[in-house]
Amino acid sequence: MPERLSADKEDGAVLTLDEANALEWRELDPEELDSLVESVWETVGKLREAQTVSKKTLASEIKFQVNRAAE
Amino acid sequence: MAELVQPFTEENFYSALENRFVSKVEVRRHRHARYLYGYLTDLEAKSLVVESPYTDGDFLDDYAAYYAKCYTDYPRRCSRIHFFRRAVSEEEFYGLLIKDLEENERIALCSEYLGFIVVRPLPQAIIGRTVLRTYSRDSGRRNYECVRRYPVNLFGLPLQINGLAFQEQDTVLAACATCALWSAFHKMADLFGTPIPTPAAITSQATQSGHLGRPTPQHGLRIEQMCDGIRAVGLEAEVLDFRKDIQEQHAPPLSLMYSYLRMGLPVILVADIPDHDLHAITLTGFSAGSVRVIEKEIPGDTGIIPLVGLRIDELYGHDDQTGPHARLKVVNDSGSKWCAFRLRSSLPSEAGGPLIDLAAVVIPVYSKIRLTFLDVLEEVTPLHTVLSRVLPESGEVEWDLHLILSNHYKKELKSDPSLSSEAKESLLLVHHPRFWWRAVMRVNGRAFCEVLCDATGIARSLSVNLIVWKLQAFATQLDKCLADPVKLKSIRGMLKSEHYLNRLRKSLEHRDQPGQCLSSCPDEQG
Repeated sequence: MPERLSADKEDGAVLTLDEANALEWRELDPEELDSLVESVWETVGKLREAQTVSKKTLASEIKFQVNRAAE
Repeated sequence: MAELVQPFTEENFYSALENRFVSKVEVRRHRHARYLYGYLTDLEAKSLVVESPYTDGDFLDDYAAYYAKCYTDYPRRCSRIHFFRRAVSEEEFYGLLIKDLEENERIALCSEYLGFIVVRPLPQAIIGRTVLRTYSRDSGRRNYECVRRYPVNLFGLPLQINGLAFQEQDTVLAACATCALWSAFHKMADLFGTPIPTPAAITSQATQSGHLGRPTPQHGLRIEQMCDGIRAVGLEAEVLDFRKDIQEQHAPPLSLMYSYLRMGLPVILVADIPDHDLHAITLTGFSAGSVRVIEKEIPGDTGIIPLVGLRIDELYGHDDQTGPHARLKVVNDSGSKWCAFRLRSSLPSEAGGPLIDLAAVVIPVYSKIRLTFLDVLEEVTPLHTVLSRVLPESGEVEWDLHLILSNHYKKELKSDPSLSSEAKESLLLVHHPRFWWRAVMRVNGRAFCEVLCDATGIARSLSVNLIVWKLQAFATQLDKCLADPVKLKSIRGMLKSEHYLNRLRKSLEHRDQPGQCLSSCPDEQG
Protein backbone atom coordinates (compact mmCIF):
# COMPACT_ATOMS: atom_id res chain seq x y z
CA MET A 1 0.00 0.00 0.00
CA PRO A 2 1.41 3.42 -0.82
CA GLU A 3 2.22 5.32 2.34
CA ARG A 4 2.14 8.75 0.76
CA LEU A 5 0.55 9.66 -2.50
CA SER A 6 -0.30 13.28 -2.09
CA ALA A 7 1.23 16.36 -0.62
CA ASP A 8 1.71 15.61 3.03
CA LYS A 9 1.61 18.00 5.93
CA GLU A 10 5.38 18.35 6.01
CA ASP A 11 5.31 19.68 2.44
CA GLY A 12 3.55 22.77 3.73
CA ALA A 13 1.10 22.44 0.82
CA VAL A 14 -1.68 20.79 2.72
CA LEU A 15 -4.40 22.35 4.79
CA THR A 16 -4.54 21.70 8.49
CA LEU A 17 -7.85 20.43 9.83
CA ASP A 18 -8.61 23.80 11.40
CA GLU A 19 -7.76 25.64 8.20
CA ALA A 20 -9.92 23.29 6.17
CA ASN A 21 -12.90 23.68 8.50
CA ALA A 22 -12.52 27.46 8.38
CA LEU A 23 -12.56 27.64 4.57
CA GLU A 24 -14.82 30.14 2.87
CA TRP A 25 -17.33 27.86 1.20
CA ARG A 26 -19.17 28.89 -1.93
CA GLU A 27 -22.93 29.05 -2.17
CA LEU A 28 -24.09 26.38 -4.59
CA ASP A 29 -25.60 28.16 -7.58
CA PRO A 30 -28.53 26.04 -8.87
CA GLU A 31 -28.57 27.80 -12.25
CA GLU A 32 -24.88 27.12 -12.75
CA LEU A 33 -25.36 23.46 -11.80
CA ASP A 34 -28.36 23.12 -14.13
CA SER A 35 -26.33 24.54 -16.99
CA LEU A 36 -23.69 21.83 -16.53
CA VAL A 37 -26.01 18.81 -16.62
CA GLU A 38 -25.84 18.29 -20.38
CA SER A 39 -22.03 18.48 -20.69
CA VAL A 40 -21.43 16.30 -17.62
CA TRP A 41 -23.73 13.57 -18.90
CA GLU A 42 -22.17 13.85 -22.33
CA THR A 43 -18.82 13.06 -20.64
CA VAL A 44 -20.42 10.13 -18.81
CA GLY A 45 -21.71 8.80 -22.13
CA LYS A 46 -18.26 9.08 -23.66
CA LEU A 47 -16.73 7.15 -20.77
CA ARG A 48 -19.10 4.30 -21.61
CA GLU A 49 -17.97 4.37 -25.23
CA ALA A 50 -14.31 4.36 -24.18
CA GLN A 51 -14.56 0.72 -23.09
CA THR A 52 -14.81 -0.52 -26.68
CA VAL A 53 -11.73 -2.04 -28.28
CA SER A 54 -10.84 -1.17 -31.87
CA LYS A 55 -10.09 -3.81 -34.48
CA LYS A 56 -6.89 -1.94 -35.26
CA THR A 57 -5.32 -2.87 -31.92
CA LEU A 58 -6.62 -6.41 -31.93
CA ALA A 59 -5.15 -7.13 -35.34
CA SER A 60 -1.62 -6.03 -34.39
CA GLU A 61 0.94 -8.47 -33.14
CA ILE A 62 2.99 -7.43 -30.12
CA LYS A 63 6.47 -8.50 -31.00
CA PHE A 64 8.94 -5.65 -30.61
CA GLN A 65 12.58 -6.65 -30.43
CA VAL A 66 15.53 -4.28 -30.60
CA ASN A 67 17.46 -4.91 -33.78
CA ARG A 68 20.74 -6.31 -32.51
CA ALA A 69 22.56 -5.21 -35.64
CA ALA A 70 21.60 -1.61 -34.88
CA GLU A 71 23.02 -1.65 -31.36
CA MET B 1 35.79 -22.71 -12.00
CA ALA B 2 34.90 -19.16 -10.91
CA GLU B 3 35.39 -18.20 -7.29
CA LEU B 4 32.24 -18.62 -5.25
CA VAL B 5 32.28 -15.20 -3.61
CA GLN B 6 33.59 -12.18 -5.49
CA PRO B 7 33.62 -8.44 -5.11
CA PHE B 8 30.96 -6.81 -7.30
CA THR B 9 33.00 -5.29 -10.12
CA GLU B 10 32.22 -4.80 -13.80
CA GLU B 11 34.81 -7.45 -14.69
CA ASN B 12 33.46 -10.04 -12.25
CA PHE B 13 29.84 -9.32 -13.17
CA TYR B 14 30.33 -9.82 -16.90
CA SER B 15 32.49 -12.90 -16.27
CA ALA B 16 29.71 -14.44 -14.22
CA LEU B 17 27.29 -13.98 -17.13
CA GLU B 18 29.45 -15.57 -19.83
CA ASN B 19 28.92 -19.11 -21.06
CA ARG B 20 30.37 -21.32 -23.75
CA PHE B 21 28.26 -19.61 -26.42
CA VAL B 22 28.78 -16.00 -25.28
CA SER B 23 32.21 -14.61 -24.45
CA LYS B 24 32.84 -11.90 -21.88
CA VAL B 25 33.44 -9.43 -24.73
CA GLU B 26 29.98 -10.24 -26.10
CA VAL B 27 28.42 -10.03 -22.64
CA ARG B 28 29.80 -6.49 -22.35
CA ARG B 29 27.83 -5.57 -25.48
CA HIS B 30 24.67 -7.29 -24.24
CA ARG B 31 22.29 -4.44 -23.37
CA HIS B 32 20.49 -6.32 -20.59
CA ALA B 33 23.84 -7.07 -18.98
CA ARG B 34 24.82 -3.39 -19.20
CA TYR B 35 21.46 -2.31 -17.77
CA LEU B 36 21.70 -4.83 -14.93
CA TYR B 37 25.25 -3.76 -14.10
CA GLY B 38 24.09 -0.14 -13.86
CA TYR B 39 21.02 -1.11 -11.85
CA LEU B 40 23.02 -3.16 -9.33
CA THR B 41 25.59 -0.38 -9.06
CA ASP B 42 22.74 2.00 -8.17
CA LEU B 43 21.59 -0.51 -5.54
CA GLU B 44 25.16 -0.36 -4.15
CA ALA B 45 25.99 -4.03 -4.70
CA LYS B 46 29.33 -4.93 -3.11
CA SER B 47 29.55 -8.72 -3.47
CA LEU B 48 28.29 -11.46 -5.73
CA VAL B 49 27.99 -15.17 -5.12
CA VAL B 50 27.97 -17.61 -8.04
CA GLU B 51 25.72 -20.66 -7.62
CA SER B 52 26.58 -23.08 -10.41
CA PRO B 53 25.16 -25.40 -11.54
CA TYR B 54 21.62 -24.28 -10.77
CA THR B 55 18.45 -26.00 -11.98
CA ASP B 56 15.85 -23.40 -12.93
CA GLY B 57 12.30 -24.76 -13.26
CA ASP B 58 11.28 -22.26 -15.94
CA PHE B 59 14.32 -22.91 -18.09
CA LEU B 60 14.01 -26.65 -17.61
CA ASP B 61 10.49 -26.53 -19.05
CA ASP B 62 11.70 -24.43 -21.99
CA TYR B 63 14.61 -26.83 -22.37
CA ALA B 64 12.33 -29.87 -22.52
CA ALA B 65 9.95 -28.12 -24.92
CA TYR B 66 12.56 -26.95 -27.39
CA TYR B 67 16.27 -26.90 -26.65
CA ALA B 68 16.58 -30.61 -25.84
CA LYS B 69 15.50 -31.40 -29.38
CA CYS B 70 18.05 -29.16 -31.10
CA TYR B 71 21.12 -30.55 -32.85
CA THR B 72 23.37 -28.27 -30.77
CA ASP B 73 24.04 -29.65 -27.32
CA TYR B 74 22.60 -26.94 -25.03
CA PRO B 75 23.17 -27.56 -21.32
CA ARG B 76 20.04 -28.01 -19.25
CA ARG B 77 21.45 -26.40 -16.13
CA CYS B 78 21.94 -22.70 -15.54
CA SER B 79 23.92 -20.72 -13.03
CA ARG B 80 22.50 -18.22 -10.56
CA ILE B 81 24.25 -15.08 -9.35
CA HIS B 82 23.30 -13.56 -6.01
CA PHE B 83 24.08 -9.99 -4.96
CA PHE B 84 24.72 -8.47 -1.55
CA ARG B 85 24.95 -4.85 -0.48
CA ARG B 86 27.92 -5.46 1.77
CA ALA B 87 31.41 -6.72 1.11
CA VAL B 88 31.49 -10.40 2.04
CA SER B 89 34.72 -12.37 2.09
CA GLU B 90 34.78 -16.02 1.10
CA GLU B 91 35.80 -16.92 4.65
CA GLU B 92 32.87 -14.98 6.12
CA PHE B 93 30.46 -16.56 3.62
CA TYR B 94 31.59 -20.10 4.48
CA GLY B 95 31.16 -19.18 8.13
CA LEU B 96 27.55 -18.13 7.46
CA LEU B 97 26.84 -21.34 5.53
CA ILE B 98 27.65 -23.75 8.30
CA LYS B 99 26.23 -21.65 11.10
CA ASP B 100 22.70 -22.17 12.36
CA LEU B 101 21.66 -18.52 12.03
CA GLU B 102 19.71 -16.78 14.76
CA GLU B 103 16.56 -15.05 13.50
CA ASN B 104 18.09 -11.58 13.94
CA GLU B 105 21.18 -12.67 11.96
CA ARG B 106 18.98 -14.03 9.16
CA ILE B 107 16.97 -10.78 9.05
CA ALA B 108 20.20 -8.76 8.94
CA LEU B 109 21.50 -10.91 6.07
CA CYS B 110 18.21 -10.57 4.15
CA SER B 111 18.39 -6.78 4.54
CA GLU B 112 21.74 -6.88 2.68
CA TYR B 113 20.48 -9.26 -0.01
CA LEU B 114 19.68 -7.58 -3.35
CA GLY B 115 18.38 -10.58 -5.30
CA PHE B 116 19.53 -12.90 -8.06
CA ILE B 117 19.91 -13.40 -11.80
CA VAL B 118 19.57 -16.84 -13.41
CA VAL B 119 22.05 -17.10 -16.28
CA ARG B 120 20.81 -19.32 -19.10
CA PRO B 121 23.28 -21.41 -21.13
CA LEU B 122 22.07 -19.96 -24.43
CA PRO B 123 23.80 -18.09 -27.25
CA GLN B 124 21.94 -14.78 -26.91
CA ALA B 125 19.09 -14.62 -24.41
CA ILE B 126 21.25 -15.23 -21.37
CA ILE B 127 19.15 -13.42 -18.77
CA GLY B 128 16.72 -15.92 -17.27
CA ARG B 129 14.52 -15.57 -14.18
CA THR B 130 15.73 -12.48 -12.36
CA VAL B 131 14.40 -11.07 -9.12
CA LEU B 132 16.03 -7.89 -7.86
CA ARG B 133 15.16 -5.43 -5.16
CA THR B 134 13.54 -2.17 -6.32
CA TYR B 135 14.95 1.31 -5.91
CA SER B 136 14.16 3.07 -2.64
CA ARG B 137 10.81 4.81 -2.16
CA ASP B 138 12.49 8.23 -2.27
CA SER B 139 10.28 9.82 0.41
CA GLY B 140 7.20 8.05 -0.90
CA ARG B 141 7.48 9.30 -4.49
CA ARG B 142 8.21 5.85 -5.88
CA ASN B 143 5.65 3.13 -5.31
CA TYR B 144 6.35 -0.44 -6.37
CA GLU B 145 3.07 -2.17 -5.70
CA CYS B 146 3.56 -5.10 -8.08
CA VAL B 147 6.25 -6.90 -6.16
CA ARG B 148 6.05 -9.95 -3.95
CA ARG B 149 8.20 -11.90 -1.56
CA TYR B 150 10.34 -14.70 -2.97
CA PRO B 151 12.02 -17.14 -0.61
CA VAL B 152 15.54 -17.96 -1.82
CA ASN B 153 17.69 -20.84 -0.67
CA LEU B 154 21.40 -20.29 -1.29
CA PHE B 155 23.36 -23.41 -0.33
CA GLY B 156 21.05 -23.79 2.66
CA LEU B 157 21.05 -20.10 3.59
CA PRO B 158 17.39 -19.04 3.96
CA LEU B 159 17.07 -15.65 2.23
CA GLN B 160 14.17 -13.68 0.85
CA ILE B 161 13.74 -10.87 -1.62
CA ASN B 162 10.88 -8.53 -2.52
CA GLY B 163 10.70 -8.06 -6.27
CA LEU B 164 8.97 -9.41 -9.37
CA ALA B 165 10.39 -12.07 -11.66
CA PHE B 166 11.79 -10.80 -14.95
CA GLN B 167 13.33 -12.54 -17.92
CA GLU B 168 14.62 -11.63 -21.34
CA GLN B 169 12.66 -12.92 -24.37
CA ASP B 170 14.35 -15.71 -26.28
CA THR B 171 12.07 -15.34 -29.37
CA VAL B 172 11.96 -19.13 -29.42
CA LEU B 173 9.33 -19.86 -26.78
CA ALA B 174 8.62 -16.33 -25.65
CA ALA B 175 8.45 -12.90 -27.26
CA CYS B 176 7.80 -9.73 -25.24
CA ALA B 177 4.07 -10.42 -24.82
CA THR B 178 4.72 -13.86 -23.30
CA CYS B 179 7.41 -12.51 -20.96
CA ALA B 180 5.05 -9.69 -19.88
CA LEU B 181 2.31 -12.21 -19.06
CA TRP B 182 4.76 -14.43 -17.21
CA SER B 183 5.87 -11.56 -14.95
CA ALA B 184 2.24 -10.50 -14.39
CA PHE B 185 1.24 -14.06 -13.42
CA HIS B 186 3.92 -14.08 -10.72
CA LYS B 187 2.18 -11.19 -8.98
CA MET B 188 -1.33 -12.54 -9.58
CA ALA B 189 -0.30 -15.86 -8.01
CA ASP B 190 0.74 -13.95 -4.92
CA LEU B 191 -2.57 -12.06 -4.77
CA PHE B 192 -5.05 -14.76 -5.78
CA GLY B 193 -3.24 -18.11 -5.72
CA THR B 194 -3.53 -18.57 -9.50
CA PRO B 195 -0.94 -20.72 -11.32
CA ILE B 196 2.28 -19.45 -12.90
CA PRO B 197 2.72 -21.29 -16.19
CA THR B 198 6.19 -21.32 -17.71
CA PRO B 199 6.80 -19.18 -20.83
CA ALA B 200 6.49 -22.25 -23.05
CA ALA B 201 3.08 -23.06 -21.52
CA ILE B 202 1.87 -19.44 -21.78
CA THR B 203 2.73 -19.31 -25.48
CA SER B 204 1.05 -22.65 -26.03
CA GLN B 205 -2.15 -21.65 -24.15
CA ALA B 206 -2.34 -18.23 -25.82
CA THR B 207 -2.06 -19.64 -29.33
CA GLN B 208 -4.58 -22.48 -29.06
CA SER B 209 -6.87 -20.81 -31.55
CA GLY B 210 -6.67 -18.08 -34.12
CA HIS B 211 -2.92 -18.21 -34.61
CA LEU B 212 -1.73 -18.09 -38.16
CA GLY B 213 1.41 -20.13 -38.66
CA ARG B 214 3.43 -21.84 -35.99
CA PRO B 215 3.55 -20.50 -32.45
CA THR B 216 7.19 -21.48 -32.00
CA PRO B 217 9.63 -20.02 -32.77
CA GLN B 218 7.61 -17.31 -31.09
CA HIS B 219 7.45 -13.91 -32.78
CA GLY B 220 4.64 -12.23 -30.88
CA LEU B 221 1.06 -12.43 -29.61
CA ARG B 222 -1.96 -10.33 -30.44
CA ILE B 223 -4.01 -8.73 -27.66
CA GLU B 224 -6.79 -11.32 -27.91
CA GLN B 225 -4.18 -14.06 -27.59
CA MET B 226 -2.84 -12.38 -24.46
CA CYS B 227 -6.43 -12.41 -23.18
CA ASP B 228 -6.62 -16.15 -23.95
CA GLY B 229 -3.41 -16.64 -21.95
CA ILE B 230 -4.92 -14.73 -19.03
CA ARG B 231 -8.17 -16.72 -19.11
CA ALA B 232 -6.19 -19.96 -19.17
CA VAL B 233 -4.97 -19.28 -15.62
CA GLY B 234 -8.48 -18.52 -14.36
CA LEU B 235 -8.35 -14.73 -14.52
CA GLU B 236 -10.20 -12.16 -16.62
CA ALA B 237 -8.61 -9.55 -18.87
CA GLU B 238 -9.51 -5.87 -18.88
CA VAL B 239 -8.45 -4.27 -22.16
CA LEU B 240 -8.39 -0.54 -22.80
CA ASP B 241 -7.53 0.63 -26.24
CA PHE B 242 -6.13 4.10 -26.80
CA ARG B 243 -5.58 3.81 -30.55
CA LYS B 244 -8.53 5.95 -31.44
CA ASP B 245 -9.08 9.32 -33.07
CA ILE B 246 -8.59 12.14 -30.60
CA GLN B 247 -12.33 12.96 -30.69
CA GLU B 248 -13.08 9.41 -29.53
CA GLN B 249 -10.48 9.40 -26.78
CA HIS B 250 -12.09 9.55 -23.32
CA ALA B 251 -10.28 7.28 -20.89
CA PRO B 252 -7.52 8.97 -18.85
CA PRO B 253 -4.66 6.45 -19.25
CA LEU B 254 -2.33 7.32 -16.36
CA SER B 255 -5.11 7.48 -13.79
CA LEU B 256 -6.53 4.24 -15.14
CA MET B 257 -3.18 2.41 -14.84
CA TYR B 258 -2.62 3.88 -11.39
CA SER B 259 -6.04 2.72 -10.18
CA TYR B 260 -5.12 -0.94 -10.74
CA LEU B 261 -1.41 -0.67 -9.92
CA ARG B 262 -2.16 0.75 -6.50
CA MET B 263 -3.76 -2.53 -5.47
CA GLY B 264 -0.82 -4.42 -6.93
CA LEU B 265 -2.53 -5.57 -10.12
CA PRO B 266 0.16 -5.70 -12.81
CA VAL B 267 -0.88 -3.56 -15.76
CA ILE B 268 0.58 -4.71 -19.09
CA LEU B 269 1.29 -1.61 -21.11
CA VAL B 270 1.19 -2.04 -24.88
CA ALA B 271 3.44 0.59 -26.42
CA ASP B 272 3.80 1.70 -29.99
CA ILE B 273 7.52 2.06 -30.75
CA PRO B 274 8.13 4.61 -33.53
CA ASP B 275 8.90 2.91 -36.87
CA HIS B 276 8.73 -0.49 -35.19
CA ASP B 277 6.16 -2.86 -33.70
CA LEU B 278 3.98 -2.94 -30.64
CA HIS B 279 5.77 -3.82 -27.42
CA ALA B 280 4.48 -5.21 -24.10
CA ILE B 281 5.85 -4.04 -20.73
CA THR B 282 4.57 -5.24 -17.34
CA LEU B 283 4.34 -2.27 -14.99
CA THR B 284 5.63 -2.80 -11.47
CA GLY B 285 5.14 0.68 -10.05
CA PHE B 286 4.83 4.41 -10.51
CA SER B 287 6.15 7.69 -9.20
CA ALA B 288 3.67 10.32 -8.02
CA GLY B 289 5.16 13.68 -7.09
CA SER B 290 3.40 16.37 -5.12
CA VAL B 291 2.73 18.61 -8.13
CA ARG B 292 1.06 18.02 -11.46
CA VAL B 293 3.39 17.25 -14.36
CA ILE B 294 0.81 17.33 -17.13
CA GLU B 295 -2.29 19.48 -17.60
CA LYS B 296 -4.42 16.69 -19.01
CA GLU B 297 -4.09 13.03 -19.86
CA ILE B 298 -5.96 13.04 -23.14
CA PRO B 299 -6.20 15.81 -25.73
CA GLY B 300 -9.19 18.07 -26.22
CA ASP B 301 -11.81 19.38 -23.83
CA THR B 302 -12.86 16.06 -22.34
CA GLY B 303 -14.69 17.00 -19.15
CA ILE B 304 -12.65 14.41 -17.24
CA ILE B 305 -12.52 15.20 -13.51
CA PRO B 306 -9.04 15.98 -12.08
CA LEU B 307 -7.36 12.70 -11.17
CA VAL B 308 -4.10 11.49 -9.62
CA GLY B 309 -2.72 10.63 -13.08
CA LEU B 310 -1.82 14.29 -13.60
CA ARG B 311 0.85 13.91 -10.88
CA ILE B 312 2.38 10.68 -12.17
CA ASP B 313 5.79 11.51 -13.57
CA GLU B 314 7.27 8.04 -14.05
CA LEU B 315 6.15 4.47 -14.53
CA TYR B 316 8.37 1.47 -13.82
CA GLY B 317 8.14 -1.78 -15.69
CA HIS B 318 9.71 -5.05 -16.66
CA ASP B 319 10.75 -4.29 -20.23
CA ASP B 320 12.22 -7.45 -21.66
CA GLN B 321 14.22 -5.36 -24.14
CA THR B 322 15.82 -3.34 -21.34
CA GLY B 323 15.60 -4.90 -17.89
CA PRO B 324 13.60 -5.07 -14.67
CA HIS B 325 11.89 -1.99 -13.21
CA ALA B 326 12.93 0.08 -16.25
CA ARG B 327 11.81 3.70 -16.13
CA LEU B 328 9.21 5.22 -18.45
CA LYS B 329 9.21 8.96 -17.97
CA VAL B 330 5.97 10.86 -18.59
CA VAL B 331 6.65 13.68 -21.06
CA ASN B 332 4.23 16.45 -21.99
CA ASP B 333 4.04 16.01 -25.74
CA SER B 334 1.41 17.34 -28.09
CA GLY B 335 2.88 15.12 -30.82
CA SER B 336 1.48 12.02 -29.20
CA LYS B 337 -0.77 9.99 -31.50
CA TRP B 338 -3.49 9.25 -28.98
CA CYS B 339 -2.77 10.81 -25.56
CA ALA B 340 -1.67 14.20 -24.24
CA PHE B 341 1.70 12.76 -23.22
CA ARG B 342 4.30 10.28 -24.37
CA LEU B 343 6.64 8.04 -22.46
CA ARG B 344 10.42 8.31 -22.69
CA SER B 345 11.56 4.73 -22.47
CA SER B 346 14.86 3.31 -21.29
CA LEU B 347 15.29 1.44 -24.58
CA PRO B 348 18.72 1.89 -26.16
CA SER B 349 18.87 4.84 -28.57
CA GLU B 350 21.19 7.67 -29.42
CA ALA B 351 18.97 10.33 -27.87
CA GLY B 352 18.56 8.86 -24.38
CA GLY B 353 15.60 6.56 -24.96
CA PRO B 354 12.94 6.91 -27.67
CA LEU B 355 9.58 8.51 -27.01
CA ILE B 356 6.89 5.86 -27.24
CA ASP B 357 3.12 6.08 -27.56
CA LEU B 358 0.73 4.26 -25.28
CA ALA B 359 -1.43 2.04 -27.53
CA ALA B 360 -3.41 -0.09 -25.08
CA VAL B 361 -3.36 -1.67 -21.66
CA VAL B 362 -4.17 -5.27 -20.74
CA ILE B 363 -4.92 -5.89 -17.08
CA PRO B 364 -5.34 -9.37 -15.60
CA VAL B 365 -8.03 -9.14 -12.92
CA TYR B 366 -9.69 -11.54 -10.52
CA SER B 367 -13.08 -12.60 -11.85
CA LYS B 368 -14.98 -11.08 -8.91
CA ILE B 369 -13.65 -7.61 -9.73
CA ARG B 370 -16.44 -6.81 -12.13
CA LEU B 371 -16.65 -3.04 -12.14
CA THR B 372 -14.04 -1.23 -14.17
CA PHE B 373 -12.26 2.05 -13.59
CA LEU B 374 -14.48 3.69 -16.21
CA ASP B 375 -17.68 2.34 -14.63
CA VAL B 376 -16.75 4.06 -11.37
CA LEU B 377 -15.54 7.23 -13.06
CA GLU B 378 -19.00 7.48 -14.63
CA GLU B 379 -20.57 7.43 -11.14
CA VAL B 380 -18.14 9.89 -9.60
CA THR B 381 -18.27 12.48 -12.40
CA PRO B 382 -21.73 13.98 -11.64
CA LEU B 383 -21.05 13.87 -7.89
CA HIS B 384 -17.78 15.76 -8.43
CA THR B 385 -19.70 18.47 -10.28
CA VAL B 386 -22.05 18.90 -7.31
CA LEU B 387 -19.35 18.81 -4.64
CA SER B 388 -16.94 21.10 -6.43
CA ARG B 389 -19.63 23.84 -6.66
CA VAL B 390 -19.39 24.50 -2.93
CA LEU B 391 -15.61 24.38 -2.65
CA PRO B 392 -13.59 27.57 -2.26
CA GLU B 393 -12.36 28.99 -5.58
CA SER B 394 -8.72 28.55 -4.62
CA GLY B 395 -8.94 24.84 -3.85
CA GLU B 396 -7.11 22.41 -6.14
CA VAL B 397 -9.33 19.34 -6.32
CA GLU B 398 -8.04 15.86 -7.05
CA TRP B 399 -9.76 12.49 -7.10
CA ASP B 400 -7.69 9.51 -6.10
CA LEU B 401 -9.62 6.64 -7.70
CA HIS B 402 -8.29 3.16 -7.07
CA LEU B 403 -9.13 -0.46 -6.37
CA ILE B 404 -8.46 -1.69 -2.87
CA LEU B 405 -8.94 -4.94 -0.98
CA SER B 406 -11.37 -4.31 1.86
CA ASN B 407 -8.83 -5.75 4.31
CA HIS B 408 -6.29 -3.15 3.18
CA TYR B 409 -8.96 -0.48 3.36
CA LYS B 410 -9.56 -1.40 7.00
CA LYS B 411 -5.84 -1.24 7.66
CA GLU B 412 -5.61 2.25 6.14
CA LEU B 413 -8.72 3.27 8.05
CA LYS B 414 -7.03 2.66 11.38
CA SER B 415 -4.34 5.25 10.67
CA ASP B 416 -6.66 7.81 9.07
CA PRO B 417 -6.32 11.00 11.18
CA SER B 418 -9.43 12.62 9.72
CA LEU B 419 -11.87 10.04 11.10
CA SER B 420 -13.06 9.83 14.68
CA SER B 421 -12.76 6.60 16.67
CA GLU B 422 -16.55 6.32 16.50
CA ALA B 423 -16.50 6.53 12.68
CA LYS B 424 -13.66 4.02 12.41
CA GLU B 425 -15.37 1.58 14.72
CA SER B 426 -18.60 1.70 12.73
CA LEU B 427 -16.71 1.04 9.49
CA LEU B 428 -14.54 -1.73 10.92
CA LEU B 429 -17.41 -3.68 12.44
CA VAL B 430 -19.58 -3.79 9.35
CA HIS B 431 -19.47 -6.38 6.55
CA HIS B 432 -17.55 -5.24 3.45
CA PRO B 433 -17.32 -6.60 -0.09
CA ARG B 434 -13.93 -8.18 -0.83
CA PHE B 435 -12.91 -5.37 -3.21
CA TRP B 436 -13.76 -1.70 -3.12
CA TRP B 437 -13.38 0.92 -5.77
CA ARG B 438 -12.46 3.91 -3.66
CA ALA B 439 -12.45 7.53 -4.81
CA VAL B 440 -10.88 9.96 -2.36
CA MET B 441 -11.63 13.63 -3.00
CA ARG B 442 -8.71 15.78 -1.92
CA VAL B 443 -8.54 19.55 -1.86
CA ASN B 444 -5.05 21.03 -1.61
CA GLY B 445 -3.85 17.62 -0.47
CA ARG B 446 -6.42 17.11 2.31
CA ALA B 447 -9.05 14.40 2.03
CA PHE B 448 -12.54 15.95 2.21
CA CYS B 449 -14.57 12.82 1.51
CA GLU B 450 -14.33 9.39 -0.07
CA VAL B 451 -16.73 7.40 -2.18
CA LEU B 452 -16.79 3.60 -1.87
CA CYS B 453 -18.19 1.47 -4.69
CA ASP B 454 -18.64 -2.28 -4.49
CA ALA B 455 -16.21 -3.62 -7.13
CA THR B 456 -18.01 -6.97 -7.16
CA GLY B 457 -21.31 -5.30 -8.05
CA ILE B 458 -23.18 -4.58 -11.23
CA ALA B 459 -22.29 -1.81 -13.64
CA ARG B 460 -25.26 0.29 -14.78
CA SER B 461 -26.90 0.01 -11.40
CA LEU B 462 -25.79 2.49 -8.75
CA SER B 463 -22.44 1.17 -7.54
CA VAL B 464 -21.85 3.93 -4.98
CA ASN B 465 -22.41 2.26 -1.61
CA LEU B 466 -21.12 4.85 0.76
CA ILE B 467 -19.72 8.36 1.02
CA VAL B 468 -17.47 8.90 4.03
CA TRP B 469 -17.17 12.54 5.10
CA LYS B 470 -13.73 13.46 6.36
CA LEU B 471 -14.30 17.15 6.96
CA GLN B 472 -17.23 18.26 9.12
CA ALA B 473 -17.51 21.70 7.55
CA PHE B 474 -17.79 20.18 4.07
CA ALA B 475 -20.53 17.79 5.15
CA THR B 476 -22.38 20.65 6.88
CA GLN B 477 -22.21 22.69 3.69
CA LEU B 478 -23.69 19.85 1.66
CA ASP B 479 -26.39 19.34 4.28
CA LYS B 480 -27.43 22.96 3.87
CA CYS B 481 -27.68 22.52 0.10
CA LEU B 482 -29.93 19.47 0.44
CA ALA B 483 -32.18 21.37 2.87
CA ASP B 484 -32.79 24.08 0.27
CA PRO B 485 -35.56 22.92 -2.15
CA VAL B 486 -34.16 24.86 -5.13
CA LYS B 487 -30.64 23.53 -4.66
CA LEU B 488 -31.97 20.05 -3.97
CA LYS B 489 -33.81 20.09 -7.29
CA SER B 490 -30.61 21.00 -9.13
CA ILE B 491 -28.60 18.31 -7.34
CA ARG B 492 -31.28 15.75 -8.20
CA GLY B 493 -31.11 16.90 -11.82
CA MET B 494 -27.34 16.45 -11.89
CA LEU B 495 -27.26 13.01 -10.25
CA LYS B 496 -30.25 11.85 -12.36
CA SER B 497 -31.05 9.19 -9.77
CA GLU B 498 -33.25 9.29 -6.69
CA HIS B 499 -31.29 6.31 -5.42
CA TYR B 500 -28.01 8.23 -5.67
CA LEU B 501 -29.54 11.24 -3.95
CA ASN B 502 -30.75 9.02 -1.12
CA ARG B 503 -27.28 7.54 -0.67
CA LEU B 504 -25.85 11.06 -0.47
CA ARG B 505 -28.50 12.08 2.06
CA LYS B 506 -28.04 8.97 4.14
CA SER B 507 -24.25 9.31 4.20
CA LEU B 508 -24.63 12.85 5.56
CA GLU B 509 -27.16 11.69 8.11
CA HIS B 510 -24.78 8.96 9.37
CA ARG B 511 -21.57 10.91 8.95
CA ASP B 512 -20.49 10.23 12.55
CA GLN B 513 -21.02 6.49 12.08
CA PRO B 514 -20.70 5.88 8.32
CA GLY B 515 -20.68 2.09 8.78
CA GLN B 516 -24.42 2.30 9.48
CA CYS B 517 -25.03 3.07 5.82
CA LEU B 518 -23.57 -0.32 4.95
CA SER B 519 -25.19 -2.30 7.73
CA SER B 520 -28.66 -0.97 6.97
CA CYS B 521 -28.63 -2.34 3.41
CA PRO B 522 -26.83 -5.69 3.62
CA ASP B 523 -28.74 -7.03 0.63
CA GLU B 524 -26.93 -4.52 -1.55
CA GLN B 525 -23.44 -5.66 -0.58
CA GLY B 526 -21.32 -8.07 -2.60
